[in-house]
Amino acid sequence: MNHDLILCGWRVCSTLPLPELMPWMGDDRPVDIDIRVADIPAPTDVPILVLPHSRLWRNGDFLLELDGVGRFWVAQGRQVLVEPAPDCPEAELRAFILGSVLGVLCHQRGYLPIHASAVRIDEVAVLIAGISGAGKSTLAAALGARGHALLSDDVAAIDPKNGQLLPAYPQRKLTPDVLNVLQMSHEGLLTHRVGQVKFRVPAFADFSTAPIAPAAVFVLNVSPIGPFGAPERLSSAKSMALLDNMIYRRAVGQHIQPKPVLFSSIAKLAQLAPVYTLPRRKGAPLSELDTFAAQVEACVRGLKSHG
Amino acid sequence: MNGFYWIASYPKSGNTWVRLFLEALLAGTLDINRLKRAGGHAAVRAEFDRLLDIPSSDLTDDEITNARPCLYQIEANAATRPMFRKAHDAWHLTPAGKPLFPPELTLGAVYLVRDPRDVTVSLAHHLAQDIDQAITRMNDPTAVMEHAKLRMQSQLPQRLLTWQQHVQSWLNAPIPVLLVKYEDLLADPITRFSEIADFLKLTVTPEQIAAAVQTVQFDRLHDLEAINGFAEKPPNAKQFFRRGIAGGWQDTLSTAQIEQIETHHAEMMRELGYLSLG
Repeated sequence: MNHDLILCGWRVCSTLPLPELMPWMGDDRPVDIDIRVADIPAPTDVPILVLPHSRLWRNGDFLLELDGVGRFWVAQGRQVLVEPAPDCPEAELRAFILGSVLGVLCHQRGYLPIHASAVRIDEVAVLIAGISGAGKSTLAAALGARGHALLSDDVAAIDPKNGQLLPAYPQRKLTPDVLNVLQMSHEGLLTHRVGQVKFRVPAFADFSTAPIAPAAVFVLNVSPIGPFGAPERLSSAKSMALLDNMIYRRAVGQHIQPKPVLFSSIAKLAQLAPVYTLPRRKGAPLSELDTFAAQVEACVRGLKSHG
Repeated sequence: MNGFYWIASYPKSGNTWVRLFLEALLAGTLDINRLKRAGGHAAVRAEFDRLLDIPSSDLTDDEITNARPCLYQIEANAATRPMFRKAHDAWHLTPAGKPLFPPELTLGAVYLVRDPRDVTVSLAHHLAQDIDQAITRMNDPTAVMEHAKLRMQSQLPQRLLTWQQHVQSWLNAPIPVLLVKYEDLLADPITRFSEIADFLKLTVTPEQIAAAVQTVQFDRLHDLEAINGFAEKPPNAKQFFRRGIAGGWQDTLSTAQIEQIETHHAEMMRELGYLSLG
């Protein structure tokens, strides 16, 4: 059976169920991305990039491979072939389809994937970027508790034509301590990976798939030593450098997209959205989370009132 | 291609002291929160993510450990001089059966060891736990440092084994190892730090060694932390540089606690001279 779905505004046709995605409600346009369980081709030429889980060929074809999970072939920004490992739960496959595979699809389609969660605050998009473990999803969820809908979790796709954010899919990944503080239950939820402590939390409420202009990028900077002041706005040179570091699947992306193209996409984003570093004390108690979220909210609203 | 010198130890055994010494020696100055020459940590999550180009948050502990040898290969391919890396992992094979620290990329290891009775006290403070929890942890063959029990850490998970197994794993590793006792470093820092510099093939003068030893005197590190904080202090610990002495356990541990530690680790404690052979 084929599932007709929407991901980053693209029409996805998948033989694998992807319950994290919303159904396609748009027009009758051709399918943008085809996902199916099928044998993966064996290219005869040598890959140009070989990493423990990833291989990339000169024409941009990409293979992701995880023992015990499966292999994922991503080609031309429109085809995803999946070879599941024996007995691998489907949810494990989805963790990679909606992560690394999505990132590579963005690169192949010429979009800019930023390692960021995104929320909608008063009709603009706010990106929360940072390295793994910085607390992107946690802050996005705290903003969610203050009434700001989720746009993306972990991968924020930017349209290079106009710098707009394409909302990805309505799911958060949260740890039990954060769920607890936000008075949400993890009963019945799947973990992100088998044995991990992060849960997949649906966030369908107020999720809108319409492209939206980003108004600010906050880059979380977690450190045990201060200063821990207000968000600090960066110069345009620093903004560009930091955004460049925050490109999702950056090494692969730099081989797929010409550097000037990535540069111009980053410039487009930085032009629309001022970039701030957001200092956060390592080990800060979750009881301070709402105050932290309120600080971000105030900063965004201050931006708007100053035009 | 260049390789690694691992500065390896069970936690709380003088690893940071040696790294700060290397920093003072090679950089000529010391900002404890901005090390330029002492090399990084072998298990930094952000480095793993950046160089292997995959979010480690999408991977299981086993998948991460299996990929770590490739991380070191990539770093070695790009290096223009020998690299130092702090390591708390035991020297062990990954779940896929490969050495976590590939011998072919290894120039050597400085292995620091400290009386496990003192390690226990220091570890309890470091983890903000009680002494008995630290004793249990040091005797747990499944102990993993920075394992994400509740939330993800900035370091990757590191397998420790028991204290005794940790020491054995490095001393038996098929690589050149310089064993350095924390107590000897305290008693005769100039001689011992000079041995470390020799082992690492550093071209330095005795005067430089003496100056670096002076710079990393315990009291000075303690004061620097009091003024500026220390980035490597765990959030729940009161301070990182606490006492820096040998034998502090004698006024802290109960007879029963001492007995437990000496029983758990008897063999290695005797071998290292922490217990008499009788």
